Amino acid sequence: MRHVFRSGCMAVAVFTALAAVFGTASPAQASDPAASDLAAWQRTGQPDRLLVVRPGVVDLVRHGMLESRRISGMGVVPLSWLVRNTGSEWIGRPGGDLSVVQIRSAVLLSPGSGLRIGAVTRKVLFTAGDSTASATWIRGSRATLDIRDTTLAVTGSAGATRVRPYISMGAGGRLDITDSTVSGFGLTGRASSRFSGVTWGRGSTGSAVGARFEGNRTGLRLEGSTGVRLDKVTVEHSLQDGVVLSGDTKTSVAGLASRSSGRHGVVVGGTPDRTLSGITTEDSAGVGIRATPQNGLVLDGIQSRSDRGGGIRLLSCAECTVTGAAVRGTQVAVAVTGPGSRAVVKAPRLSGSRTGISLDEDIESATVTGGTVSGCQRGIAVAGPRVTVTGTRIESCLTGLSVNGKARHAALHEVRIDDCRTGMTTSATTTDVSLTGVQVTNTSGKGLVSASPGLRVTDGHVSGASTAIDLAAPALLDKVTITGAHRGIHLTPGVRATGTALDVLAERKGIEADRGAVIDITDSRVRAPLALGGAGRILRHGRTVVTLPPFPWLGAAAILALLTAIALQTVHQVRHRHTPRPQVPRHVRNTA
Amino acid sequence: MNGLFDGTLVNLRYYLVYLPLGVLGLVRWSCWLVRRAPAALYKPVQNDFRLPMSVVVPVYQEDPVIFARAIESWLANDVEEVILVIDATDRACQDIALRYPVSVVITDVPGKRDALVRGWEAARTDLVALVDSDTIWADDVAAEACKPFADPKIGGVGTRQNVYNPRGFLQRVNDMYLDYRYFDENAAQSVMGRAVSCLSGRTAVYRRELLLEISEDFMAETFMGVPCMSGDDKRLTTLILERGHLAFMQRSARVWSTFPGTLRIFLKQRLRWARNTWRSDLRALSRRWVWRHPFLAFTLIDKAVSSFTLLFAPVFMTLAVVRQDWFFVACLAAWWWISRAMKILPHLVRKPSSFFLVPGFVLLSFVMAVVKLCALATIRKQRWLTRQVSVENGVVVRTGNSRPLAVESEVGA
Repeated sequence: MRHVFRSGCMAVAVFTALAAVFGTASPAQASDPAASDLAAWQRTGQPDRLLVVRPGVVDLVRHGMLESRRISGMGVVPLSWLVRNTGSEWIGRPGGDLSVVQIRSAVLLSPGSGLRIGAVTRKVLFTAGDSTASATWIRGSRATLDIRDTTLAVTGSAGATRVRPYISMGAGGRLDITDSTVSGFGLTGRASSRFSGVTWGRGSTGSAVGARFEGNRTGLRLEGSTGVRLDKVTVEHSLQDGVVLSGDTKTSVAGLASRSSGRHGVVVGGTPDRTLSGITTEDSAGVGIRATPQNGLVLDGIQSRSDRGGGIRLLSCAECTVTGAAVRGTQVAVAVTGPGSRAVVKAPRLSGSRTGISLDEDIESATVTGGTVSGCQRGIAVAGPRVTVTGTRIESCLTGLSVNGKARHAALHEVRIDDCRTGMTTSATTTDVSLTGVQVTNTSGKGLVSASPGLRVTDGHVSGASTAIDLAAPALLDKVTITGAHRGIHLTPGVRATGTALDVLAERKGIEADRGAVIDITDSRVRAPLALGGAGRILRHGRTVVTLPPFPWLGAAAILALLTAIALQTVHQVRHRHTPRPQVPRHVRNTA
Repeated sequence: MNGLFDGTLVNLRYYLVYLPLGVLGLVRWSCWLVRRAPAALYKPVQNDFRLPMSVVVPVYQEDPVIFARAIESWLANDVEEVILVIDATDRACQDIALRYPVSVVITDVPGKRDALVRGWEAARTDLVALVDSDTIWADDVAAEACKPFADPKIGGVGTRQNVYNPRGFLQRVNDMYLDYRYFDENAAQSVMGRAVSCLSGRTAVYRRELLLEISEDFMAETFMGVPCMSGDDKRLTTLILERGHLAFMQRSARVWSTFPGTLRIFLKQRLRWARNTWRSDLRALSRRWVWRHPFLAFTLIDKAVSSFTLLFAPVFMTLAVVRQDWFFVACLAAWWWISRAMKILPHLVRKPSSFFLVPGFVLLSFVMAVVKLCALATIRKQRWLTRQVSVENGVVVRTGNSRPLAVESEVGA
């Protein structure tokens, strides 16, 4: 008995599944097309005019009533067939132009049906509605919509109140846009995000190849789609986000450019372990690429220019990697923020931003390797825990690298900071900061300023600074070389530091310890006109040598040579002071 | 690897860049001071000694106005005779010569050397002044140039030259070069052994008996098998010194000469002079006589070496610009400006506004160094470059369209 019951249930399930796959209407609807159209009309927001495209049949529904039925006999209907068979009140050709079509009704593609736009029609004008009911759109599920070699635009009275068209493909459907332009689409206001322009909905697939999306609310949106291919796609002047990739799977991207978006250039989220490459964003009002909470995102070769809200922003992104990003002219070139963030930034090329890389307080960990950060107010700002920076070069910034906030266990290896005003700062709120092989050169201000208790500097090199190392907290310096600085090391009152194998060559002061400060130096060399100074204590151990700096013999010789030249000229002048001017013809003027 | 390279070099840069350049600069300055110190002690010879003097002038394609003014300036001096050896093709200068009380020798043999020989052979006085046809004398050149000849060892006397009414950058720079030469190199050579390396052909006075003695060697000069056409003044000076006589620069005898105002002619002239200098100096340094004048030998070597070392500085500058080491670039540029200004102080005292030309002067010096190296590479070439004559198959020939007219001799005024 139980076995029979199970078999019955399975048969019902199989029948239901087959009905879903082949789009078979329920017996009631199949027998009553008016009832089916009424249901569709109610489901789609009760539009004034609704064209329901079914396999072989097209129903013209006005205010929910089936006005007439056209037999197409085709699974996929060309737009030109609808023009010929529906009438200009539904779909027509304005002015008799064969290449232009104006759509005045909503179009619903029912399961199993299809619509093809293009080939003959070069421009399709969607009539903007005065209300939601009078708006035009194309929606479908388990249907196909193929748009090719055409331009989809909006026509009708302009104004803030007009309702803009949109295209939305739902579950099981396929939407392909090839070498076409879609402009001015997307419901505004509080309308569902599914109707924000061109949307591949959950379970849909398709492609956009060589397509442009201009002035849409959202340029294009992939929301739960699968296997959509984006190739040479340009999105411009979107009212909100340029591109939204949300919960989509198996999306392939090659050459996606988002420009002048009203909000973010590209928003990525909801899909774990995916790689995106070939994306360019420019002039967005928000962030170039914004990654919402997700795992395993890899952004490869992203380019961002002049995005006002930032270049790349990873929000609570776990195990995310940004590789070879090129960002310039923005607020924060690469930002890692939000609880649970664990990010790796590899070989970035960041320039001209307020902050190059910002690693916020609430992240879990972050790693930066290689790359260049230049022309920023702050090159790298480390505020979060467990941050490692290795082999990165920072150039021409106001502050090269800043460790602040809740940073702890920050490890900087082989970082090179050139031509900055201040090389590096560590604040008092940070702990366990270690620098290994860090080079700071040609800073106009201070090389390394530390208030971080327990700072460890190993194999460091600081050259060309007003003060090479300024310590306001205990620190351990090992094998640190200082050259060309006005002042080598300065300790603020009460600070205790230890130095081993230091080599300090300063133009004025070698080591200066303020009152109450103590520094132990072992096996070190300090060369400066005033090698050791200040009211604090500088304790020398081992083979520590304190001397004057090497005399600048060449400079002295040069000055001596110049003075000798002047002296010899003076001798000459004195010896020839009575020499008269020659008697010459008047036309000779060069006689002095 | 790059980090290692940078990290290592950041310490070695001082030793790899600054130190060699500094040491090189120190050596060059030391050499200059060795010249400058005796030059500062130079004084022209002052006495009442006087000998009769003839002026011999080879004339070819000269500017008529300058030529006339030059003749007038020579006649204003107390000279016995003025002998103009004019090329047969140059009717314009012949016509000008007819207006003055001068002797004219017409020659159809191209080349300055032959004209000079004809001139001093025609002269009748003890002293002969060999003068360029564009050179204007002060009123007392003849009297001043005679004074060093009170010493019987003196065989030739040079004068101080300047650019005749300099206009434009190149003529101003030429004036700077001339002052540098007569207040530095020639003055030092006059003080240290009275052996000037070159009595400039614009005006040089020799004992006629010596000129007659060296005529054959003068005309027969070859270098690496090629007869020499230009460089007559260096050759004459060398022959005088070689025979044990002395050459002195009398700075109180002042003359002015025209100089090219276009870069093309300027460079050609410099190339010709550089070739002459290389030929003469290399030959001199290979002979024993020059070592009897150690200071002269030193200056010849110094000048030869400086042609190469001068180019080190722009190489270092280029490297610094490539490395964007702007501090070094600024320091080196400032040093060039100041140090070169110090070296031409005698000129700057005379013309302070030239201080602003010093950067251009420095850059031109680098170009001149390249020209000198080009000259060394083409040392066997014999072309006047600024006139239509050259040596072809061992014979001086005209290279332009000018043809000789009928030869006249001793056409007196």
